[in-house]
Amino acid sequence: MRAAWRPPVETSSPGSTRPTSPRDGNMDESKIRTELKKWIVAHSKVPVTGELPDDTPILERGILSSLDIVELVLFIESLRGDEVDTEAIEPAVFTSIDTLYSGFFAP
Amino acid sequence: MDTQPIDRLARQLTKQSRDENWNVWTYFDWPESIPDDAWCMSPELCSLYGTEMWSELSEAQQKKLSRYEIGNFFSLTLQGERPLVAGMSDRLYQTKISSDATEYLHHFIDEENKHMVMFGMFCQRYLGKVYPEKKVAFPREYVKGEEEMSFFCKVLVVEELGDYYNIVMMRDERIAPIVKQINWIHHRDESRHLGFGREHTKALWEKWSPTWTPEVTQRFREWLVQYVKSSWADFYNPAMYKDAGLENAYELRQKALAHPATAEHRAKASKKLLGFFARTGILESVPAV
Repeated sequence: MRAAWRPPVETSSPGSTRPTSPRDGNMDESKIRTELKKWIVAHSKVPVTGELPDDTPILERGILSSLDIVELVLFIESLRGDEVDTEAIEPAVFTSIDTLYSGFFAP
Repeated sequence: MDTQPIDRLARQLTKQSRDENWNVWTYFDWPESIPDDAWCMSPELCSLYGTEMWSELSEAQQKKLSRYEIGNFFSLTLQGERPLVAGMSDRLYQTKISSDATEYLHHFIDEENKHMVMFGMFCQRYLGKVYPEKKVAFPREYVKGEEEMSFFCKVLVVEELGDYYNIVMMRDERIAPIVKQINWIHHRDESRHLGFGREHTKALWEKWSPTWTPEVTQRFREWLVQYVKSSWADFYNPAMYKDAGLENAYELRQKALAHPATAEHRAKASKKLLGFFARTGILESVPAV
């Protein structure tokens, strides 16, 4: 079965940060936290059993490695529908789902 | 005179660097613009090539994508060269680096600086930007020699993958002449850097790895494989797809990365790099990337 990808059409001008993600604007806090959790569990380097609490230190516990962070940033951009300026953020924002939410999504 | 192989090589490379010295400020005759109907990257190197996502694009869309693909490739190389220059500068005149190697490092740094100028000028002129790096630096602890090995392995990854692309594009008559020329001059300098980097990395491995516990060796190997995979993933930049006007850029990236045709390309383009790591024992075998 073919995936949902469609032949490309012109969308936005180069360099634009206008949100284009279909997910943009459709997600509340709980949905965003769930999506983050699903991604982290799917990319975990160690077995994660049961529910992953939102305050779990994901790097300190070895759930993700620093090399996973670029992928996580791109996933966060897809959820936000907007680019992340990694030069402007502190590494501490990648501590847990709580810090990810407050660093990248909280109003 | 020191007769270590690395020092003999350094003296030879220093001579070549001086013989082939070039001026980045005057070398290029930058065209005002690159025509819309030009290939800016060899189609076979474009990240979607070989997939249905590529064949469903019109030739005009493929060419437009190739413009952002080359911008991403040059940006990646530039961003990879920044820490490389910083690291090489830190090593100048350290007692663990011989005077011959130090002399060559001056050329290495000089040439890498020229490359950053060249890539930055191209990206600013024809794309209006350099794609930013998404990496975030986290402090970590190393055992003795591990950070040094990590640094020189990163150098090799950036340079070997880039060199594969340079060699294909410097011979490709279909692409814009300025792109061909940049790839050629980059390859000429990088072939020297790679010669030095391979010898030095091999010597570091032979020096340090026997002092590591099996756990450290395993950790290092896992990190290296992950680093190579992560470096490849950077070639599938959602911002580049978005700039080329393609919809659902993140989903497109994930699909392209997972496609067997792109995996085959990565294996082919990584053959020299991974072969070196396997041959020297730095990796136990050639991993899938």
